Amino acid sequence: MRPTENIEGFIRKRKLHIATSADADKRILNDSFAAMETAKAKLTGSWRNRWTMVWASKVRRLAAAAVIILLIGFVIVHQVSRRQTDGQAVMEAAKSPAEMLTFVSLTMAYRKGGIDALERQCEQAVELLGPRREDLSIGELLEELNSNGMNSERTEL
Amino acid sequence: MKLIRERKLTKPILIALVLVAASSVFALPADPDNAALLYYQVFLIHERPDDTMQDMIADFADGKIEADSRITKFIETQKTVIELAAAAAELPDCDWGLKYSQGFAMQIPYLVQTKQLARLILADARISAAKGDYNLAIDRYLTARKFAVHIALEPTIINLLVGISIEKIANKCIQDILSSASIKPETLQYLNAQLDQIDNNLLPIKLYYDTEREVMTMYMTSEKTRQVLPFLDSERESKFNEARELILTADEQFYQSNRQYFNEHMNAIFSALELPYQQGYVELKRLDEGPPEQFKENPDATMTAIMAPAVHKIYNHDVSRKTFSNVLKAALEIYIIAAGTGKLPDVLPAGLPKDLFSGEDFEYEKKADGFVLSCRAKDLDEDKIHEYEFKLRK
Repeated sequence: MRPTENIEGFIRKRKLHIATSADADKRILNDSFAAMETAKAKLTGSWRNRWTMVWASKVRRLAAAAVIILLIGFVIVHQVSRRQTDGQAVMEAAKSPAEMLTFVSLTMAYRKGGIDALERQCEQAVELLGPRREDLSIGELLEELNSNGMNSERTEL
Repeated sequence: MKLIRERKLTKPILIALVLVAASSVFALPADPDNAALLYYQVFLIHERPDDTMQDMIADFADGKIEADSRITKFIETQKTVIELAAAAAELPDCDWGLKYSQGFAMQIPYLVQTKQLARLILADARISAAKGDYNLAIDRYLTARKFAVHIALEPTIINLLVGISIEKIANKCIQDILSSASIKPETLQYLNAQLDQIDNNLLPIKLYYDTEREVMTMYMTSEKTRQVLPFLDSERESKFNEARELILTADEQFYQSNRQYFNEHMNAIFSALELPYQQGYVELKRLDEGPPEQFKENPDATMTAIMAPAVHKIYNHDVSRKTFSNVLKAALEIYIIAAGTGKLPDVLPAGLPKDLFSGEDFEYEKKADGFVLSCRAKDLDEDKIHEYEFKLRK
């Protein structure tokens, strides 16, 4: 049986009943915090010792510097290539409807994927063009002009 | 004497007065006689539905789903748009105002909304048929067909293809309406006559290739070719890297020889277009495949290899759509006989429009609930024989 199961079995079998009090809880907590502080201090000390060992040796110092430079280089290269990919995507996304609807652009869409590709390109251009007004009658335009005139507020051109 | 002179003067004075009065009457400017001007207005006021509604209208117009109240309600709000499109479709002339001098940079912006508008019109056709208003349903179908013709009046292959694509969904729509309705013989005759008229307005396919030839030739110079190269797709890019190298380092003699090769290639295509479908398709395919294989040995074929369109595919679309139109006209004759006699004819009546894949009459088969018209030869591009089913409502 594994230790966890051992403990579980022990608790299940013995049906432990531990009476607690506020004083006991406080004492246990204080002891726990004290133990934690000691452990932390030991750990920091050990890291400090390791760094002291590294910096004491010239070879180790050079090796550590090389590792740091390599890490920085890797991060820079990664970031630049990510930016380039993003830039390409942005350029593609920014292709304007006007560019998408030239004779050559539509012709190439057809050559790539037939009528379906041609229609897809038109659909994408519509997406970029955005919605249109449902109706625009002369009546509506007049109404709009009249209301602007009656409103004596400054009409923005 | 004086009285006579006065009488003589009275008449011209009266005429002059009438003329002055008539000239002062203000007349409104005439309505446009160019359908494109009305279509552009339609595109400006056409409300673009949300994606869900757009898909629903597309599926409904294509006959994939039944109408529901949301579709009917939306179509109802678009009546102004549909009526304006119907008015445009009735005009014989349609000049979209393309700037051909710009060559490949020419804008064809109206193509973005054409299919949506066609589907809107066809959705209204289906709704009208479902309500039993077959006259309106047929009018809407005819509007879509005339609209398709108007689009393809600009002789670019792109316009032709978009026109064909709309024509195809329109014909499927009327095929479904004919199968679900009991339409009066005179209405069927009217529809048949209209279809003849529409087909007569189609431009010959040669004209589209002529435009293509002109535009391509414009770009067969060292300066202009560089403008086109970036548009070549990635697949071609890898395949034609060698061709690119040749083009970028070529002299004027190279372009001259390439123009000559291209012109001869196009002449061969025009000759192939005169052949019956089966030979014509094979020959066009052979011509399309030639330059990409030849240019490594023959640099004169380089520009043709890179720029010439896949003619055999476009030719196939054209034969396919004309055959669909012919099958509808043949079916209408059968429906007219059935409406007059109360039963389907036993054999296909003589003199009906033909199957263009075989050049022969369609194969006619009577069924319990209607009839089937089939082609007698394969569509070589799709590698299948087309069959068109029509139902008869009793």
